[in-house]
Amino acid sequence: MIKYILRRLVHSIFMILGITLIIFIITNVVGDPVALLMDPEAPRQQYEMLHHQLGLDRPLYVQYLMFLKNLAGGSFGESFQFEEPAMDLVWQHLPATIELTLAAMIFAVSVAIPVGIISAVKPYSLLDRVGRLFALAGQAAPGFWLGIMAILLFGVEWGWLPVSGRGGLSHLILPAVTLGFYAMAAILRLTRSAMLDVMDRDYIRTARIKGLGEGKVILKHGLKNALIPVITIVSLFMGRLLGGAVVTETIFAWPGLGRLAVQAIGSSDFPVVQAVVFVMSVMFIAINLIVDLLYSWIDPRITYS
Amino acid sequence: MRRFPVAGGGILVIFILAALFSPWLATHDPVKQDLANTLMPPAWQQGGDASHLLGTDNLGRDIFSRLVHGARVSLLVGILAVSLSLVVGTWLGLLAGFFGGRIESIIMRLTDMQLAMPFILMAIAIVGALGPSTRNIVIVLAVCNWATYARLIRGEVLSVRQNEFVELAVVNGAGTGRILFLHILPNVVNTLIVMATLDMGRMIIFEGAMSFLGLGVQPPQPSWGNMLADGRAYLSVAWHLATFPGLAIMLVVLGSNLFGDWLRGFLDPQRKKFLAGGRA
Repeated sequence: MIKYILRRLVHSIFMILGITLIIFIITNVVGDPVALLMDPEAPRQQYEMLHHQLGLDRPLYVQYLMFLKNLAGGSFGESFQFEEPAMDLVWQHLPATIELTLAAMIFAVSVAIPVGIISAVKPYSLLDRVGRLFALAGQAAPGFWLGIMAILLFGVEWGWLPVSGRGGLSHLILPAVTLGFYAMAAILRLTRSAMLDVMDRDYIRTARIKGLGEGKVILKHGLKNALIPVITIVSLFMGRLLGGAVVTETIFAWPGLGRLAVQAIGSSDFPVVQAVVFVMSVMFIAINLIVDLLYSWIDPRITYS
Repeated sequence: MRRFPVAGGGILVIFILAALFSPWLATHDPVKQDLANTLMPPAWQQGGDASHLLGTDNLGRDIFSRLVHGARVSLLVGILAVSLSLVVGTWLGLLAGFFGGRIESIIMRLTDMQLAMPFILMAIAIVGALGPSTRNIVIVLAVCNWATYARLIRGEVLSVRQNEFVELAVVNGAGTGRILFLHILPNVVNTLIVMATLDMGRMIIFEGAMSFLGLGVQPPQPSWGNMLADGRAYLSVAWHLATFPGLAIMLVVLGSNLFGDWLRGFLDPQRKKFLAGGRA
């Protein structure tokens, strides 16, 4: 067990290193930072000067090592746009993204699991049909469009909820629901099919024969076992929500990392782009790592070779 | 499973036809501005006009025409992206699965890393460096997507490789290429097709998201994504700008999901046995 944990940890560290390489290659090798920074009309001399200043005339591996060295010190350089260290900007915007992602997950799970269970227990009922239709549409509709429609309906037409910025709970509702919607749809479908599958099993029949009330049968025996694949998918989605946050934050002007990244690209602010991509990737890897470890702890039957 | 994919296939056919015949279907030039007639509502609302079926946008461009041309762009990008990632991923998966050893390790590490980064972030990083354009969006989508295919194909190759007919082929002296193409690939094609169909929907959504963020198809060329971005600014006065492009995306994705699901059932080898009267 300990060996497994250590192995996964090392694996994750390699992942992170690989990502720094990818980030480095993408921004420094494939793109041309200087050309994007400067006025195309600028004289050759200025170009050369900036080139040298940014250390871009050194051999690539030296640049990469410089990059890593800075990274180890927690620095991605200074933002071109804001004249603050890029990492500082990241730390400032991180809490907002975490808040949004957690809220979205809570929404998705608290709607999907109960509806999924009821759907499975009462198949073909009205709730089941509506729920399934909902889930199907939810998986096909682009999240950002749903967000805009939500703004249209709840903000413009009815004026119930605020549609931008971060504030109290009312500001959180629309973005969280928008972000979590796809996850909710997927989890609902999975919960339903997992429960249907489990309810057919022999041990459920045994429980019923024993005389247990239906509620206990469903919850104590059925749900516990159905939850295993559901937990897998929930944890898979945690990472994906991070990615989805980028678009959602842009729509609702939510001051998180995603919005920061989009703004940074718009102004060719490389240090910030690199910093955000790096931090979000690390978060993603960390989540996956925790999920893997949790998973092998929950279900001891899983053996990893 | 029904015999014909009425819903999914039907939707897809409509959109594909719309995309193919867009220059003839469109009632107006999608980029032509008409500043005298901006923000006209759809024809059935007050202030609307039958000449602009779905109204006009903030620059007076006809929404229906833009929608139809956008279908062309979105579907094309989707198909290209899926094809590219499928080809690259399949190749690498085949190589990894068949040759094993060092090659497999390297390729699998690459897939790990690519899957470790959330798609949007990779896309942002790449577009941030290369600049936004339609061509770059296809590249980005393909680069961010090949790993799923590679993994899948490698898995299939590994399992098929065990089968006897492959061993027989090897024993009979068949060359590697022959084995790959004649024996392994046909077994894998079904899964590939289903995956690609389902992937189309994903790619279209991603293209929409990227164009929405300004990182994909650039204006004035209409893409459902950038139409949504335009429409967002005018939500309080014109609901139709943002509603229709998103609806279009949703319908296409729904269609391809439904079609992919049906296809999966249709191509299932068990089904043929079942239909023939034997027990599946």
